[in-house]
Amino acid sequence: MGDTSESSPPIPSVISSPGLSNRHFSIMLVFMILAGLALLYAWPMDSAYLKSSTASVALMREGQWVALSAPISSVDERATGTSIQMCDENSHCVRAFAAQGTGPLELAVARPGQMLNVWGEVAVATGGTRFVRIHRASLNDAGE
Amino acid sequence: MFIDPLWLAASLIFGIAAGLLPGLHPNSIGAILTPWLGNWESWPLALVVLLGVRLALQFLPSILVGTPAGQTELGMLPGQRMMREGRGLEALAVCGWSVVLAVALALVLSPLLMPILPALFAAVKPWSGYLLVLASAALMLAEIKDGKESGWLGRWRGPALALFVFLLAAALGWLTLNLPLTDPLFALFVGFFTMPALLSGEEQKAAEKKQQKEGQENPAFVVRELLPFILLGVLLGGLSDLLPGLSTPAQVATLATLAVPLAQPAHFLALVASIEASHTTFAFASAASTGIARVGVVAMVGQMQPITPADLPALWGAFAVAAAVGAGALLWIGRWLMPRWHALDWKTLGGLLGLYLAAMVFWLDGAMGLLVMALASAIGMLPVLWGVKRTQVMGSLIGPAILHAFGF
Repeated sequence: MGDTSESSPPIPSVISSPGLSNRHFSIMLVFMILAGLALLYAWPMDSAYLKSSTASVALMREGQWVALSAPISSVDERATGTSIQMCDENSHCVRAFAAQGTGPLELAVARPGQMLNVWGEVAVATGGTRFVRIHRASLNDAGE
Repeated sequence: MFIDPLWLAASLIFGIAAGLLPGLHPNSIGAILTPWLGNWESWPLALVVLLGVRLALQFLPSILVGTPAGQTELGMLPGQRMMREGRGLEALAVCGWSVVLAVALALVLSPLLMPILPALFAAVKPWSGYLLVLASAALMLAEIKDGKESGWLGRWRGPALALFVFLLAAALGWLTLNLPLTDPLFALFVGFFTMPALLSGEEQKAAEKKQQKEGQENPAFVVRELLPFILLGVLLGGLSDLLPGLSTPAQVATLATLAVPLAQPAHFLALVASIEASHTTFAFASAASTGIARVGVVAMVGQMQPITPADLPALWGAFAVAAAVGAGALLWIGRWLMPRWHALDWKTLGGLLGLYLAAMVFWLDGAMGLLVMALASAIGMLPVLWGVKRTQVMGSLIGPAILHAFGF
């Protein structure tokens, strides 16, 4: 069983053990939590950078998330939602789609020639064509 | 990237529970749950939260029972030493402060380092092999005992035995890292460190030592004492993201033993905890700027959603919240547990711990993992029997790194 006969050594003068009751440590934790929450929820949501090309979307699995940025070549308003074709500099194109009532507000003013930044999920249409189901989007004017 | 606030809270709670269990790493949790949850928007950041909580909390089982901590693995050595001295709560406080300060410093330095990381990477690469060989030689030469030594090889006996242990560990490490194991380092380091401590009774001695109660001295003095080692740890943690062939901060921590001897366990613990914290923090910036993820969870997040500079605030924010909560839990739980720890029946608990760790190794990596653990245990007993530093078994990582650096 435990060694209860031997007394604990005196706490060395160079180190102490502040514990959670220590004011400085608690302040540090609170500050870090608040700063972290600010970064997480208050930092302006920026557009996604090009990390996946329109060509690579064709290779992705259904359900994979993608960050995509490319110029808009056409915008089609349909009863079911907004369908946007985006083509990169190599003429690889992919469709991004936001269902009616679910799309980000930016899509309402999307026009051909603008840079669309999209973050969404790869889906497969009947016939096998892959498209990006838009979750978030932002627009930059061409050349911005 | 986004995480629902309710799911943030749930991830923090789950992270605390999982962080207390040795061997249950967020890499393993991610590998198991991502096939089901990978399409859920909050999952990437939930994994980051698990990582952050564990970053701090892993030092509790490491100090209490000597299990490998994170990617540094060496945190248990000074922690167990402090337990044997009755300073377990001090050890936890050192880890808590070091993790929090190191994460904060690394977050501040990350934007400054991001533009220069790729260039630093290229500059250091040609020299990494030579640096590792020199450092390993220095580690072995440190075994030379002062004074007259009689017997086989005299004062060179220590370095010769250290070289033997180093080479054995290097061979096992090279073999293990080339096996398709889920968590090869866990099997290796439970074998190298924890099992020998259990078998030799060191574990029991540490656990049965009555621990001090909470201290009374000025905590600002603690921070001043630790700051140089925390700063050094932040820089070394960033380097460990940088150097090819140095696959884990454990190697960097081993090399750091040359600068900070284990004779001052609190300082070494601060260094190791800071290396661990900053290595993980820098991994996000490294993934965004170079595309290379050196931390398993960061790699998993990158596969679910490519990590771009625009994602960094969310990643850093989630990680900072989680690390702070983990550090708080570390000290809150430790303050309750430490005074009661020595009164537990460690003859029985030590055996149960050994069985639990073996079961975890088997769950993660099957019979092959158990074989690795058994071989590592045999090698890990040699320093205990021969009186050389246990850090020589880090040859298991440094050896393969040297081979990699020279193109093998």
